Amino acid sequence: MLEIIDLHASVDDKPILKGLNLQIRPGEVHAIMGPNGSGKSTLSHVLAGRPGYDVRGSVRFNGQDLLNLTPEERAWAGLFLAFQYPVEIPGVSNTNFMRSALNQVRSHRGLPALEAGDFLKIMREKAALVQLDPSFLSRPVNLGFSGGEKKRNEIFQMAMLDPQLAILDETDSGLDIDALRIVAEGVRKLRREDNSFLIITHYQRLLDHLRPDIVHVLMDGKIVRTGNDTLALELEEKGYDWLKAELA
Amino acid sequence: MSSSHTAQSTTKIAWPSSRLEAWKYTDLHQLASKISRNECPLSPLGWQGQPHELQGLFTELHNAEPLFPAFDELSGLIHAARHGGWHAHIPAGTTCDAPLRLSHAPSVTAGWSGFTHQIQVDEGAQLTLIEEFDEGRPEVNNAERSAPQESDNTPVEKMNLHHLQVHLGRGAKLKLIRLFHCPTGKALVHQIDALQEGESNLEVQTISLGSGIIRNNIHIQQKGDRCSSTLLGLSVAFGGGHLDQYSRIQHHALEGNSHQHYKAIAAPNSTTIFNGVLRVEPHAQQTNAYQRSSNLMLDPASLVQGQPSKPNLRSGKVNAKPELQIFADNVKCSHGATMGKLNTESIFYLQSRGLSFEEAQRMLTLAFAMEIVDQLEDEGIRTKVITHLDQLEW
Repeated sequence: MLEIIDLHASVDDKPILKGLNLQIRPGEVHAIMGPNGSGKSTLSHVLAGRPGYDVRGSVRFNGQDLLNLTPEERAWAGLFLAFQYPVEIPGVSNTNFMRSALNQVRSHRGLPALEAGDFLKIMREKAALVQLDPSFLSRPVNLGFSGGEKKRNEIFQMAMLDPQLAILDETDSGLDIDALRIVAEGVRKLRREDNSFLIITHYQRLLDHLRPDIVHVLMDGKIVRTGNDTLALELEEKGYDWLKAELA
Repeated sequence: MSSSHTAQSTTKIAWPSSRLEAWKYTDLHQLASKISRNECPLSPLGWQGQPHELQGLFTELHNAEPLFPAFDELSGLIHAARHGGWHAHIPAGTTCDAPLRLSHAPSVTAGWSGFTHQIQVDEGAQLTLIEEFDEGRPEVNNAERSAPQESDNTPVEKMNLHHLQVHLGRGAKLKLIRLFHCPTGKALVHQIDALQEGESNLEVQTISLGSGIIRNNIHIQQKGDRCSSTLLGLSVAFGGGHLDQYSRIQHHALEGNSHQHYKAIAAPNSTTIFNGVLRVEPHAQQTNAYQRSSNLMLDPASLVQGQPSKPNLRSGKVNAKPELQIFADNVKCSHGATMGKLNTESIFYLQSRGLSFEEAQRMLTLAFAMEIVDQLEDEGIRTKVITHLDQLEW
């Protein structure tokens, strides 16, 4: 589904990703862990097409050259990024935003636009998945939402757009234990055999809920270790220093 | 209409030029000197089908004297060279429950036309007037508009000038809700001169949209104590439009209130102007005045996305010039002017959910406008504005 080969990215001539390789197949849940500044968020931004990066290398998503697509074309192709810091947008209601977004995505996937009634039904259903109070749907996007509400809104949007590959960029940071459980539960329910997740996190706790198939460690712009979920446990227990020492 | 005026030629009229501070960004002299006075204008109003309430309140204005001496030269000029206009008189104590609606027809013939209107609201009377000034469709087709010219370079062949004198008696209330739309190749100049007696209340809501030239003047003199003036406005310039919003509020008496909030959106190759003068005279103690101007400049998609740009496309341009002249020492006056572009982080966020760059821009631009549009006290005008904004392309 996703194949990243020798990916480099820099900002203002400062290299951040330095030859990253990663392959994700349908149905897999991958986790990426790594110390601060290792390039985790940059990877998510580069994959989603955020402007401002100088990017080299190859990223193929279902056979398409991802790096040549605009951010919206990536969304149409089935990619979704749950932002670490969701943006507040005054004046745009969650409902209008989602209706436009979903109908755009549907039209590019060859599906008809939804009737108003059907749209509202789906929206309520998906909001319930992450226990997002329906009153939030009529409010401006993320405006005045607490940290936890913003993250739930991200997962709600993900559920609405039904991506093939969802990247969760530190969705667990800033969440209390209950919110974390709700978000994780929401994500777990969205797992299918034909969709995949790339979860960027610092903590084991989210992974306890989601049970990744594969865990990667990103350090200094490269994936330096790949293993199963016991690798995450090991990192939780011992930190990154042992790995740094081992690599040195 | 006095027949002696019709012989007047434009070249002899001393239209204000950009040498005057108030006309710094829109040179009416230059604009008007290129076109001649229309000899056979249409009636400024679609008089047919007016609601019954209008009968008796509105009359055609012929040789009426001004309600008060002209505030500046332009109002005098328009009055002297006018083709017609209307006069409304709301007698003391009358309250018009339903708003009155007037729709001003476009000037379909060549040259410029001038109209003078008057509203006299007597003591304690109330009126809401909703006016539309729609100069119609652009005279060039869309293909030609795809790379819009600067309005300064587009020849203007038709211009409508309107002058409205407003006199509010003691405790009178007047609410004006106006929608201006002016396409490429046309110009629309509107001036309100309002004289407020004590405890009167004036509200003016102004929406200006267009790819042509619009100059909107609002002059208010608060003559009596405890007057209130509330101005709200939105200008949206696109396709090479040039929209100039000028206000001048003069506080002469005690405990006056004035509140202004103008927003402007300048699409690529287009210009908006906010030029606001607030003057507090020495006797106008305990004045409370607030002036706010918020402006949004839009970039061409090509510039933002790093694609090869369309020729001759530049970012929208905004001029904002607040001017406070305060000669009383016990007053509360404040002003704020902001200008900026759409937040790229917000655009990316919307794009990442599948909205195209253009749609993301449109959604955020509409959101910027809605703060004003939501305050418009007429559903019909609100719907029209939203429709215009939805169809906006740049």
